[in-house]
Formats: sequence, C-alpha cells, structure tokens
Amino acid sequence: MGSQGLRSPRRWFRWPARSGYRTVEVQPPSRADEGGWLFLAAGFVLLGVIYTYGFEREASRALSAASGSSSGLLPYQLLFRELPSPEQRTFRAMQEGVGEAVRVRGDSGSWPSVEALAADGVPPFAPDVLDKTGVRWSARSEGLFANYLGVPSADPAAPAFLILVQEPDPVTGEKPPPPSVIDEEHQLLADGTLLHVTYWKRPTAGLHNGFIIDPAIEGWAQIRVSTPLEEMAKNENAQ
Amino acid sequence: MRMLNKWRSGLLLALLTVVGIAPTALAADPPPLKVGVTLHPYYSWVANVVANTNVEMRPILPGEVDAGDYQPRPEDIKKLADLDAIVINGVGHDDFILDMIKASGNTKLVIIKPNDGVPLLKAANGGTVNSHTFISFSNAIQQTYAIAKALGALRPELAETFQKNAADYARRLRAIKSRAAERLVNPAINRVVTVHDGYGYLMQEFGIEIVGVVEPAHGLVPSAQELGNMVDLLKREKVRVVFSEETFPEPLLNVLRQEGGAHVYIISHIASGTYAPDKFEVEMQKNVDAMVQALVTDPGH
Repeated sequence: MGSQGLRSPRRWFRWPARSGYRTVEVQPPSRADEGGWLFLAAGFVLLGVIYTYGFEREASRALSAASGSSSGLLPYQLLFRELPSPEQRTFRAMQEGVGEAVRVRGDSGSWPSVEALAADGVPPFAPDVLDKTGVRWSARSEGLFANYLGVPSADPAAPAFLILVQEPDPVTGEKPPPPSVIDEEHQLLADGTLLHVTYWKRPTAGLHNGFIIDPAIEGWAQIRVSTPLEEMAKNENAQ
Repeated sequence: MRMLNKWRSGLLLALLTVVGIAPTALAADPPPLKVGVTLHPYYSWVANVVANTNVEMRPILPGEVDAGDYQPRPEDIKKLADLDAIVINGVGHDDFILDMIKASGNTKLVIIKPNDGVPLLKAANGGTVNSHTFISFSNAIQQTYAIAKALGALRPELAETFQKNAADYARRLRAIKSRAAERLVNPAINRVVTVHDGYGYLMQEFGIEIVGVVEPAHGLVPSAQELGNMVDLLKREKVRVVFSEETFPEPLLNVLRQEGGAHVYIISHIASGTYAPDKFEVEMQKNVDAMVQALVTDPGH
C-alpha cells in the first residue's frame, strides 16, 4: 500500500480507505466543456473557410483587373479550343505554314512569298482541295512587319485569316539570351532574332485592302492556343 | 606481328601530325548523342531527323506494349540511365515516364516535349485533352521540326543536318497527305464513329467529323449500357462507318454491325509493333487508305 502511494502522490491527499472497497463517483463529461470545444473547433473551420474563400476571390479579382478577364485573355483574344472545327483546321495549317516560313526567313533573311511556299506544298498556302471556302493567300511586308492574309473567295460568310509577323527593331528590339523561354507569340531564330508571330481572324465583310499593323483596332480577333495564365503555369511547371 | 602493329601505329601518328590533326583533337569529339523515345511515332520521327549521323536511338518501352497498357519495369528504367535526351508526349500519353526518369537517377537528361505549342483538341469523353497529337500529318511535321531544333541545340555541329532531314521528312509526309486529300474530296460519308479516341486530329485534317467514341476512356471496353447508347447514337445520327482497331473485341464490334447497322474498318494509332524509321509513314498510309475505302470507295458501290 505504502509503495503504491509513493508511485502515485495524488493518493496522499485522499481520504484513506476504511476497508478493501472504496466508492468512486464517475462524473459524465461536462456538456458545457464539450460544447465549448466543439464550438471553438467549428469557429476555426469557419474562419479557415472565410479566409480561403476571401483570399481566392480577392486574388482572382486582382488578376482580372490586371488582365481584363478571369482567364487572362484580352477582350480581342479567343482560344483555339473554342473555334469551330473547320477554323481549327485552318489554324493548325497556319501554324505549320509559319514554321516553314520562319525557317526560310532564318536561312535567307527574308520572308518567302506565298507562291514559293505553295510550290513546296506548304499549307495553308498550297491549294487545298478540302477547303470549301476557297481561301486565297497573299503576302506583303512593310518595314518591320509582314502580313500573310487569307481571304475566302467561295464563301463570303467565312472568316478571313491573318498571320502577323513583327521583326525586332535593329536598335531597340528585344535581344534575349539564348536559353530564353519562348511563348506561343514568340519565335527565336538561330541567330538570336526574336520574332513576334500572331494569328488572327475576322469577318470578311468590311475587310479593307490595306496593310495591317494593328489588327485589334481593325476588328480582328487574335487566336491563342492557351490563355496567358495557362501559359504561365506551364512555364512554371517546366522550370 | 607486334612489331608490325607498333609500326602501323607510329605511321598513323605521324600521318595525323603531318595533316595537322592532333590526337587530342580526336579525343575531344563529343560522344554520340543517345536519344530515347516513349512512343512508336516518336521513334520514326527521331530516326528520320538523325538519319546519316552517329546519334544512337533507344525506345524505352517494349515494342509490343501499347503505352496505354504499360507498367514500368526495372529493365526499362535502366535504359534511361545514360541517355542524353528523351522525346516524350507530355500531355497524358506517357506520364509514367517522369517517375521512371526520377528512378533512373539521370539528372542530366534533356526532356524534349514536341507537343509544346501544339493546339490540343478536347478528348471526346472525360473533359481532358486528346493526347493523340501524333496521329496527324500536320502535327507530325511540326513536332519533327521541334525535335530537330531541340537535338540541334544539343549538337550544334549536326543542327543543319537535322533540319535538312526534318525538311525531307516533312515533304514526304505532305505528299502522303496531299494524295489522300485528293481522294477524299467530296466523300460520300463525312461523319463517323471511332472506337478509340485517337483520331480527332487526323479526321479534322480531312474535314471528317467524329460523332462519337465507343471507348469510355483510353483503352477501356464499354459496358453493355455504353455500347447500347452507342448503338442508339449510330441509329439516331445515321452514322454508317465505325473506325476500330485490331485489338478491340470482335463480339462488341458485331453488336455495332448488327444492332447499329455500321460498317467497321480498321485503322491504327501506331501504338505497338517493331520500332522502325518508316513505321509512321507506312501506317499513316494504311490509315488514309482505310479512310478512302470507308468514306469514298465502298459507299459508292
């Protein structure tokens, strides 16, 4: 008994048992205590939810304010995945054609003509027997800009397409270091020249015949593969 | 004999010194680039880009295994250990490779994702993207150039050869596509169902609409209810052509034939078999031939 008391000092302050039995009243857990803890926990969860929701919403609002929309797209931009299938097909052909044109530009220093690309069978410049709208392509360049313009000849309701290329200004142009991250609007030539290449569409009605430098002002919509935010996330994952 | 060898070595050394090539310069030549691939089309594309160079190629998956059914194996992880670069899909078709690369311990491996910048179509079922970008002429050409550029950055002395090879390959692929397009002008049928969701890019290039896809997800066999829904779709949309693959169970195809009234044609998403430089061209030619037969020739009779 004595050794048990030494191991458990709290027993020293208890009334000594008069016999081998003792009576202990087992109290139920306090309702007030339990309710208090539950209330506190619920409060923490609620605060967490409010904080997370508020933070996300505020961050989203800030991004929207900075970029103009919740996706980061500017008002004149649209996405490839939202285009109807025939226009997606044209866009893919334009991308393929740009690849070839950029390679010729890299090798020769000048942009190839539509006729030269068509002679090599390069889409969308080569005759396309499956194109129901009969898009005819022409190329022009002025100063630092080049236009490849495709206008439908068989279906006036079909859209016109534009590939706009901007060369860097030889004096003030961007001169990125070689391992630069190239996004979907930039192409880097082997000599370090950074080209700005964008794709556009607009209704054919009202299309004027002049050279195009600022398509957004002239009613063109820029076609992008991904939103700027998606592109940013992809670049972050790649690093 | 040993004296003769010494004499020959001495002569060679003298010759090299005379023509100004020091032995140290020979030793400084970079070792052959070792490039791995995950999918069969990538093997064909890389093989054509590096043709007539000393680049070594290595498929990581066994040829007979479809990437959709593949389980990583230790002997395949070993194949990654000394690679310089690897070409991967990176948009959902070979995600297993990233863990395999980590497990290989090869921290210097350059991962080439030719799909970067390629516009992706939506998957027919499931809300993700269609990762079969490689079943397409246009994508194959763009991705071949992307591979040439990436490999050229690793071996600048071969960059021009890679670019020229890529251009030659692109010309051949465009010729196949152009001949097929001539035969697919005004097809009798321009709406189809495919068993596998691997043909969105290819069909779009030829203006063919895919009305439905039989497999509920990559490589999954449809349930009885899903197959019944597909039969209803075939009837409702009056679709008469189904493009299937050799591996899809024949009894299920018979349901589509008998209940849905569809004609079934076989095409391939180039997912298994022997790795070969001409495999992509050969199988894509077969694919467009099957399309011509299904959409132009047979309906005309």
